[in-house]
Amino acid sequence: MAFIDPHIHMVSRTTADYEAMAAAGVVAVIEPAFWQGQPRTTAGSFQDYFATLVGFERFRASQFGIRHYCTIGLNSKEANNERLADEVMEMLPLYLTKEGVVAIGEIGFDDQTALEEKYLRLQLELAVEVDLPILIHTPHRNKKRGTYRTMDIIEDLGIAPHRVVIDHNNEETCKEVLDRGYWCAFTIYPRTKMGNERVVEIIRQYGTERVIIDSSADWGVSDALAVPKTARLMEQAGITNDQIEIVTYQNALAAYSPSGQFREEDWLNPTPVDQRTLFQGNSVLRGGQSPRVDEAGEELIIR
Amino acid sequence: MNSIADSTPTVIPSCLPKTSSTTERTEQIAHVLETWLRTRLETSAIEWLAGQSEKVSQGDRKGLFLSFGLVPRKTGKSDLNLTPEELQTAHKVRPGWHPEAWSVDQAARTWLILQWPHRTAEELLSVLDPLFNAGEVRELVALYSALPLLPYPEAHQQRCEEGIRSNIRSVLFAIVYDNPFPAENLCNNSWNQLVLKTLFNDISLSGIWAVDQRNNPELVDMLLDFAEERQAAGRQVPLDLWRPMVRFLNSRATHKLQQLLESGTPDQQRAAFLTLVESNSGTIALDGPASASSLRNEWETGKLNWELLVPRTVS
Ligand SMILES: [Zn+2]
Repeated sequence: MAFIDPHIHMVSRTTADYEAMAAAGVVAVIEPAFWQGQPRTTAGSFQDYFATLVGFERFRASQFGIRHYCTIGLNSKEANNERLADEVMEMLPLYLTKEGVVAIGEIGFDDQTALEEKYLRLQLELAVEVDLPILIHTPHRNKKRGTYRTMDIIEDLGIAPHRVVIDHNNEETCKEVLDRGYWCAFTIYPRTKMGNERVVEIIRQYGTERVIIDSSADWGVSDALAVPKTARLMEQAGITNDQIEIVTYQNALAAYSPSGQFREEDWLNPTPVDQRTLFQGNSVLRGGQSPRVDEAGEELIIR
Repeated sequence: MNSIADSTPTVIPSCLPKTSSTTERTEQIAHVLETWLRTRLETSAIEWLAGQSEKVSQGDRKGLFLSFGLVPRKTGKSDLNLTPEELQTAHKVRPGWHPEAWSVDQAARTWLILQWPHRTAEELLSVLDPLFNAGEVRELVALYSALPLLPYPEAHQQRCEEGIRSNIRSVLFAIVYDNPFPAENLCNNSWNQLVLKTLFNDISLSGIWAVDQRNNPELVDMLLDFAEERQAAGRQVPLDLWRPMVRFLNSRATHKLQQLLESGTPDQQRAAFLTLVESNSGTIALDGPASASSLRNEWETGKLNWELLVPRTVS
């Protein structure tokens, strides 16, 4: 089975993760721009970070047969530094239009301050201007209120919910998010976010329509194999292969393909070398890899 | 050479055609690009471009940055495939401009940049620098190929030198091939780096514009050192390594060339013959080997020249 992990911070991961992910069937990843564990102090740090996301990280992933895409945006935590935030806003137009940028994100609320709202709104407007999907990060504290408030703002700006992925949902938020028509993503992340046994129950209850599974693996205690592991767990729980494919592959593809930058052919049927960019196509299906999660000898359950 | 010497004004050889870099010429180039785009793009793409150019020409930075990035999504990435007449027009408005290998998105990006309002070099650089600094490969190819079309050539000299340091092959091609900017604007030191870098990357010199006009004595020694380094490592010496020595042969070079003429492979003999005969280093030098007369015959009948001996590299 082939998987997409539509939310993972690969800059914090090692090449061993790429190898394990490729072996487990991950064919494509989306890396949202986010904060990196400590606040950046200059706009130059953002510039180099964005450049890494559209440059070196793309190249590094391709060496392991994984196609790398990203989202570009100013995260909510760092939106609270107004001077810096303005400089980053100036820079966004240079990066949002790069090849492989599939959305503006991850944006949203952290502490739910006025500044966070200001830059959320500005970036939502920018997404409309460049016609890109949106990836929303929902806050860890006061989550329900923050999630609803984010949706209110999106609707206030007249943005269609099918253009928006709301991530880091839980049992408390998912019903409203689905009812209001958004893509509803669940981050399988040990301890702080969502465990995969819980998500199996949620899928049993709400079905698979507009549901997306991701790992958000980063510099914290997280698991780069969360998507294939959850697929395996769903299989054991009797969820059909079709349904598993919808939440671990098809829905992510559908949510981000309106960007025009996220195409299945990229990994299924890579174009030959482009003479102008000399970007090497790399079919992941070469050599007939098979999923290897069951051999990893690691815990399948993520709590 | 230190950095002050690096930036000494270029002495452009008088054999290069004189080109103006006035606003008037920029307008002509923009007009030519627009005509090409109009005959190739769908109406929706043309309308989009027109809308963007309106913003850009009013000094809308964000508008330029966004539209520059979005261009391939609106225009596609196909080749321009210019007709011989169109290529002639290109050459007429900008001598040395060879857009044979240009793509539609490249033309559209260049056209958008030419819409940016400026009264000084700084005003132009205020948008060019961010575009270069954030550029991905395809964007960099477009930007470097556009250097000879921009006003204020002296303001882009350092940028060109930085591009020569690039290890991205397609970016290097955009600078060294079919681009009149380096020959017209680089000082000898930077020009020599360009020639060495080209040879080092096994790219034929045949695609470099005005390659024979910028030969100089320092380059001869650099190339001889490079040849010896390659020989010592047991690697091949590019046949056209000798080409930039024409007219500036020293005794060390002449000696090497005589050796090649006598005991090199047939192609090495051809390269040595061409270098010697084009240097006018006289009939005496060419009297020796028996093969010289047949090479002279090849040369006189137009069957021997650098482009035939070492054709352009196809990226
Ligand atoms: Zn994240």
